[in-house]
Amino acid sequence: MDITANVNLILHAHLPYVRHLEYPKFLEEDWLFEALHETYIPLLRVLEELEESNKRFKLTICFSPTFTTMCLDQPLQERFVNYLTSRIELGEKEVLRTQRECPEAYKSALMYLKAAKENLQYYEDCGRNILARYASLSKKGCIELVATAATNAYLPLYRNYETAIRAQIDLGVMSHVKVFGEQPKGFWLPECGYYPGVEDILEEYGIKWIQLPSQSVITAKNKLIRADHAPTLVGDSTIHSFVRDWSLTNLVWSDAYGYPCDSDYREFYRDIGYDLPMSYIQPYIHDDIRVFTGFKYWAITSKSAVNKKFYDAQKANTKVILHANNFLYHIRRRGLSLAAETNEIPTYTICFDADLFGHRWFEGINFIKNILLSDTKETGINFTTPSECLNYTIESERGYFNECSWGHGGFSDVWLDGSNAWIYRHTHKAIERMQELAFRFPNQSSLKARFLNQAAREVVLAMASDWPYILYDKTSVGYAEKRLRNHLGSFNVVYSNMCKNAVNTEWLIKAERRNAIFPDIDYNIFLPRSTK
Amino acid sequence: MVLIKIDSLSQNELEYIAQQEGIKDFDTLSREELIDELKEIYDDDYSESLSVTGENVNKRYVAGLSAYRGDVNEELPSLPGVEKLPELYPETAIHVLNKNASWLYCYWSIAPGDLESYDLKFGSYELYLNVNVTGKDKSEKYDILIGRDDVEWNISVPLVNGDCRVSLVLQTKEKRYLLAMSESVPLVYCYWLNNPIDKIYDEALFRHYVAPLTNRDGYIIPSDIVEEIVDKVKNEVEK
Repeated sequence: MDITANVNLILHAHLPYVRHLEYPKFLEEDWLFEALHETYIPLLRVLEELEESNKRFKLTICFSPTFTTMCLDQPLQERFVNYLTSRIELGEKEVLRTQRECPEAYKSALMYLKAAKENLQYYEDCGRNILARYASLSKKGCIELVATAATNAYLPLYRNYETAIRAQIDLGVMSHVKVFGEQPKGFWLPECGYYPGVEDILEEYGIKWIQLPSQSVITAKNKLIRADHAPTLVGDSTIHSFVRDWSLTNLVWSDAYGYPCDSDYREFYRDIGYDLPMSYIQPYIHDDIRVFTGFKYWAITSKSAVNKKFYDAQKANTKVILHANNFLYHIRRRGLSLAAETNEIPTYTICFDADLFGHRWFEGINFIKNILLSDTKETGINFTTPSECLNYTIESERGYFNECSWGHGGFSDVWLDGSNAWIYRHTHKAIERMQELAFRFPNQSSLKARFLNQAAREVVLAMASDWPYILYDKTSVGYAEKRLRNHLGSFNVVYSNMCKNAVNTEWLIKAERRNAIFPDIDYNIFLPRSTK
Repeated sequence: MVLIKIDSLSQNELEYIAQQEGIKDFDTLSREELIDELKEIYDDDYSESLSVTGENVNKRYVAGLSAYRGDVNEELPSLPGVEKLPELYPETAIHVLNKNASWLYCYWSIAPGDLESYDLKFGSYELYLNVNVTGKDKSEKYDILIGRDDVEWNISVPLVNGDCRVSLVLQTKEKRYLLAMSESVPLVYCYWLNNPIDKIYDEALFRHYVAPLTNRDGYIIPSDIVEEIVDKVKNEVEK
């Protein structure tokens, strides 16, 4: 079959920087452990399996610097090993319990135990560094790795602070080069948050492409003909945009009709962490706070089912194949429809948060495997990467886009509403004061430089889009607010001390230990260009 | 990303959320009663979460289960290094951010020292936000009366090819004084909202625009501006 569509499948791997070694166990650190165990290790294993079987596949992944820093952090690696060990212990208990009391869940218990054991073995075999394995796949040309902003800051709300934008981009690119040993060609705009002008800064860092949200084409300032299915030059720059296709993404992403809602798939929200007696489950949750353990025995069944059916992995696997084929069918149909009118082979870009697959949608990794396994000759669909697309792009339109994002409504409402607007008064002020410090105390060395670098570190951590999003989404509100106040409060410690030309050494040592991220940060980046 | 609805939660899970939400006798209520009680508590969020696609996002319920931490001050020990943030900073300044195509968010502060000196100097006066929209085809300027204790405002703006700047102004009986001026922010300008004839002429092209924004059930991506563009085109075609 002739090629009917090229597809860029892009996964975004991000978590906020959560590392609290001051506590023996910290609840929010589980975000990382669950993601590694259920998404990033299984995904890597599948990709390596494909590569070893000489299957040609293409995938694009963006690992955020906060995520990679946590992955490479030795104490967190140790904690992750403890987490897996605890899952193995629970698994062994569960195999016995289900065999005795709940035979319908026995197979699932065995499955979870096996996964925990294999993942632990795999993790140790990798030397606890899964990112090196991803880098290796990139060198072999199977995946394209792209950079992103340092702390996943939502850039449009900082557009008036060029130094802060540069700090986010500079640290993001620097971190990528350090972790993966290659210069990134693509840059993932956090939350697909674009504002006119950001491309000019990215261009200075050698970036060739960015992704844009779906509605950016129809709402653009100029008339565009091909921008939704072909790379398009952004503004007056040499950077190309790849526009996310909402229609195709929605086949998976929709929480009402998406594939993950199928009744045969595993129910994410039913977990023995909530269902079993406290005396039994307590060692595997956080003291007396019930949390997910990862042991989930039920299928979604139906939206309103009180009594859920037990999960049947075999049934779910059959469904995954059907859904993967259906997904490819929809892509092909779109491609054929476009070709009938324009005689073009479109390039569709489909972006997801990576932890949807495996973590939220248990069968999602298998779904990715199935679509990547598909044969281009049979399906007419050619999986590719944005950089590869640019290699055969001869002529591009030029698009002048408005500010936009992939958030609800397509603008900044999610990160700027009644719950979180208060943040910007403080983060903007911290940036202004950081600029002032960089101007008043340029090129310092030794202790003062460390003190100022710590201030810069606190500013970029406070800029993370995770905090306003959590406040908006009303999930871990208390934690997000505390983290924000912590970073901004810590920045003020440096600011007030530096105004007295003093360095609080004891505080600095503790702060550096607490936020061990961006070791190469240079506060001078906050010096406004006009004053250089 | 949320996949499951409240109806799918078990009695145990519902009881757990109800307990966290402070519902009395949560352990004596039936499943239906628990759902009703929780729905009442989350009523506002619930209605907000009904998107234009008709999809019931229902995030609060699942968030309540997966991420509920109770009162953070009781549950989470203090993190070290936390300092209390000031409510305002001692400066007179104004900032504007783009919230969406039709609204700007504006925040400001007036240094306490400045306020004292205005009181001494002028006695009585009023404070205004002066909104200045400068567009290629359309410009407008208007005032919004604000109180002394106000520190933020949402400002409605037109969709024009231009920008907007907001000033903080003090008005006495005799004179206006500029206290602070924001940076200018660009406003949203859409080609397709301003060229309806073109749309009819190029209907096939417009179909391509809409296809990536429409899901398999025929719903369009939730976006006011996309909806406005699509409605306008429909009207033009019907003419």
